[in-house]
Amino acid sequence: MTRLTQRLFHFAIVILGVTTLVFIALRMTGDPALMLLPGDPTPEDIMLARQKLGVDQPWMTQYITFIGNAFRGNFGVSFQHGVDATGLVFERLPATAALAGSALLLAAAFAIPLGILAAVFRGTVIDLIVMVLAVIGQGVPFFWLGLMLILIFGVELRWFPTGGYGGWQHLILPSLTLAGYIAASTARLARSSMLEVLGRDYMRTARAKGLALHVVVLKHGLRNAAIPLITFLGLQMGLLLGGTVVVEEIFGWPGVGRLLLQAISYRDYPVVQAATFILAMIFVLVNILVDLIYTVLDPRIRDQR
Amino acid sequence: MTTRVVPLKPSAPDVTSEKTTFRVRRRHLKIVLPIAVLCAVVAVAVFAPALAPFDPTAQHLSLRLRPPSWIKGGDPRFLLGTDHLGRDILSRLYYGARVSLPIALAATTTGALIGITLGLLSGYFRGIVDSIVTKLIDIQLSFPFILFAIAVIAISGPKLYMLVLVLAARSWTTFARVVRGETFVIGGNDYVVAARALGASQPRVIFRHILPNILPLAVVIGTLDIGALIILESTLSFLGLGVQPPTVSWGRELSEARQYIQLAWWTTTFPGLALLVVVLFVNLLGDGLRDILDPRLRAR
Amino acid sequence: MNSKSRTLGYAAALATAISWSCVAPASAQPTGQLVIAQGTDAVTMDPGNTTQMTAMQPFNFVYEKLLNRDKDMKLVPELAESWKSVDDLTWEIKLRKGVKFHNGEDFNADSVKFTLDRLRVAGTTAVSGGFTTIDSVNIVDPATVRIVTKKPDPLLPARLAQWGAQMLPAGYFKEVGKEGLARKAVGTGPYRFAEWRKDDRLVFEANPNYWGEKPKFARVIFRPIPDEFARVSALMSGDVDLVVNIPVDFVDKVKTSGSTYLSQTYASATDVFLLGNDEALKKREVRLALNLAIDRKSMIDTLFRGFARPIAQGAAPTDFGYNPNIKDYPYDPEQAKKLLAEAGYAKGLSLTVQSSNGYILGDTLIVEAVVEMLKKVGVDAQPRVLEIARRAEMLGKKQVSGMLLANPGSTLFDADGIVWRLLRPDGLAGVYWPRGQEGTDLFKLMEEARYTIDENKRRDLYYKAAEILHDDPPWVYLWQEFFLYGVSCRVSFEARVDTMILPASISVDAAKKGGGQCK
Repeated sequence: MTRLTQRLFHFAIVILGVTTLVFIALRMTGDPALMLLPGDPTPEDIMLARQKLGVDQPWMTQYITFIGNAFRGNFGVSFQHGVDATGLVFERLPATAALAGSALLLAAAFAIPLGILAAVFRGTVIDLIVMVLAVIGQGVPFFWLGLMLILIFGVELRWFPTGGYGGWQHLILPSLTLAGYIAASTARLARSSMLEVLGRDYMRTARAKGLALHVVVLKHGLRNAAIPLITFLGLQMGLLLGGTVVVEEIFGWPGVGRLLLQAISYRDYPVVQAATFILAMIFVLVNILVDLIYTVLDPRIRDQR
Repeated sequence: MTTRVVPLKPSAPDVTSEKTTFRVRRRHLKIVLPIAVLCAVVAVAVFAPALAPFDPTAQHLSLRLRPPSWIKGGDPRFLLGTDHLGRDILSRLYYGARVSLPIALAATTTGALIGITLGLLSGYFRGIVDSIVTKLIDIQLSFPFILFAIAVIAISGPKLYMLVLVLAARSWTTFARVVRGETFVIGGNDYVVAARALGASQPRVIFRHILPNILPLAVVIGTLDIGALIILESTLSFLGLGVQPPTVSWGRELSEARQYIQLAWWTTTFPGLALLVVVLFVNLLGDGLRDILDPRLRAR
Repeated sequence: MNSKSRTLGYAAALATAISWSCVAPASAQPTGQLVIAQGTDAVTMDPGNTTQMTAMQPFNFVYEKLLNRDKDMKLVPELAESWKSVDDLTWEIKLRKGVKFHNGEDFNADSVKFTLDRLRVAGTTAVSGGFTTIDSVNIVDPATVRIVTKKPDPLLPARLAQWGAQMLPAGYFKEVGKEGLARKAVGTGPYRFAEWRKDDRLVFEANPNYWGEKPKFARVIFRPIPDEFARVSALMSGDVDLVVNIPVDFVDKVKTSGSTYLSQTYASATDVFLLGNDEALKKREVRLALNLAIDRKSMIDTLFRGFARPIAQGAAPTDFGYNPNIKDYPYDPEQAKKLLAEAGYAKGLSLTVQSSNGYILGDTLIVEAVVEMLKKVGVDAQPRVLEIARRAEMLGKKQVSGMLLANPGSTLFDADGIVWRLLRPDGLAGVYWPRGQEGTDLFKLMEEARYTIDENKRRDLYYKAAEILHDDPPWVYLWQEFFLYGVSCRVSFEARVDTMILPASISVDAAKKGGGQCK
């Protein structure tokens, strides 16, 4: 097998594994018929509702149908919303992508330069300030940060809307909240990666040859320090897409996270299954993308393969 | 990339011969201070019953949301004020330390045990074992964490050790990835190859030659991980999946008091500060340990 | 027979906010925009497919029912012109003429028959439980229908005004099917469906062809804001003008801001602890002791700052059949201890006290406070938070143990909605309660009241039932809930006891605003 097919096989197994586990987890934890019906259904009501939802079948039968349909991208009709589940998830993707993307960009734009600065000026006040900020950033739960931002910039100063989805103004506070946490760890990672690179022989040689500091740092250092950073940010992207739920709850952001949370609460099997499948696919795509970037950035890896 | 070898990046080697003594001392300071602070927190947790002026669950409904005692309207009996059920915030902070810290510690330890084992096996045996472990890691990472938490808690009920397992599920992948990568590298080292050639049994090679080289790294990851898990526990509380009453934890305090963030700042500020201080010093300790323990760093 | 999602609890999810951006001049043409934001979004545009309160709230703007309730909860005609009982089993309804659905389809007897036929068979829709007393719907002429019930049903007119009874266009449904209806609402109401971006905004626009009073706003928008603090913040910052379920601690802020005011009403929901299948809870002494061990007054005064009123019988004070002669239980921990000792639990009793987290207003707070009070009378009470699906399972499969916080209420504002629904022999509480069994005095009263058309006679029957329910409490009574709305001074809003926000309850009429709280 070539490396590519090997990777694809690996990810196919991962996706199959996730969807199967989700399938089982859902069925072990509650009855969607009871969530849909009012508080005191009669046993007949429950039976009828289960029939209607198709959850009265044995698990194996349900599973075979599910896998068969999933291959065609059909996850069924949402129990709660009464419309196609896949469509529901796709409707939400742009909002989540906008939030996760802008948070990641914000984090990278601030944290990487700061981390590099801290590394270059190691042991100085700059380093200290950056690191203290970073550690504080990691020590603050983001629901708290989000509420503070609403209080300060939404209620007191009224610079930005307190929540909702729309123009760029709506994006600022939620992406800042999310960026805060990522930025903290990114800055720390940028600093330590850069420190390691700066310590390598070829960097010393480059400096000894009389190249200016900024040239050395930006040209040689960044290129090499980028690999762990990209790995990290790629991993964050994967986690972010499913993990923005807290920020989405606070800012009323119509993303996949909230859809998934509600669907889980109401045991809306089709939606949960569609959402987890699509999120797992995205996770895989980001992985493959990072693989590619990685190969471009580091010729040694390319050669090894 | 999640399965790729991503060695934890050590800080740059800063040991130049003439400054060694000074630097070493500074490095030790970097771990002595955090250890001192954390010991103090642990002491508070241990002696909470003696220190706390009130039973942490004792309610004074007529004295809800009183500000700290030094502020107008405060009650001298409640140094840091009272929460939305009129409970003493200071006492709840003391008792909260008994839950927040052990949970994060237990979760990290569990995560470390699982992660190191799988990482070692994967990195040492490679082939099919590695293939299975990397798939497990990616499955865990792409499984929606909240669904995982709800599923575990829905099946088992909100028990403290289940919460530990949920947090450990988030933590083991980091250990596994890093240890796997390191084992790849160490497994190829001359002395390991030599040991194998001399007929050392596999357990012997793993336990005598590889594990000792990996443990310092694991300690470092673990320390950095504890902070993240303390925060994660509070996030789970936000979603109603964290520590359940009557148990007190800082994360639950913070998330339950969140609607009073403006009306009664003290209800969120003090648990928030407690979290921040602990995460801060745990992370500092992790950084300090990394400088001292990371074997590659020492070798240079 | 009632919308029972109340028992599931949704209160925290139900928060509604209204805002409108431009000042509307006093003119006949609707101008301005009214943004109604809720704790959670609507889930479907199909009134038959949800029992969640927040999901139903927007229906009031697009759909209409045959009957509705005015602000005193009296039944009034909406799409019906009149209704009368022809005999014990038959009701005749005259329909309003010349009404059109938003898609141009005529509203007539066919629409009524289609809508009710879809609802009346058990299990076909989520709300069918409230319509199963209907046997058939017969068209007399395009503007007259006769509804035949299986048994005499005094509540039939009330059923036609309840959740799920919104009139639907038969032709549209045939054309687009269930999924189409779920996506896009077509009704007869003063506003018509414009756009829906799930979990962000649901937009309605004025219906220029509306048969009744002209709509007051050009657009009405519903927005979901899940976090309580964020919701109040949206009101304070002017992003939003009305918030339902203001947390009580924010009341002062809303009252004194100068740009917002508080609007309040009793809700039909009552908070109670259902009692489960534990052996001890079968004893009257124990149930009575639990009722005496709870200091309702101090909880209401502190946790709810006065916004709740204690109850000591099944029905809520706003329900038909509520017996005003029954006194509240005193807070008497000594008597409670004595009763527990008499029942054989002098050495204590172990009970779990359970609730959801965030689905009934203040649920975890109530549980924590009650646990402390129970400890004082020697009950070893263990608080336990249930995930909502777990809770639904417990209720649905009737496997309640210990105490479980619930907020039942009759959406028909009738004692039947609580007494019969929960206490019938196979009801949620009836299964565990000796008095609820078939053949008991209470059972006979409930059954008789249920099929009695004469109002005075029914009332007397419920008064008697209430006495039994007070003397031998089937559960632990707490209080009737309040609904608090924060409203922007830019609009006038009148809260209704059914907690519904209707197009008619919001206006831009300056004279009614704020009761002195607006600057």
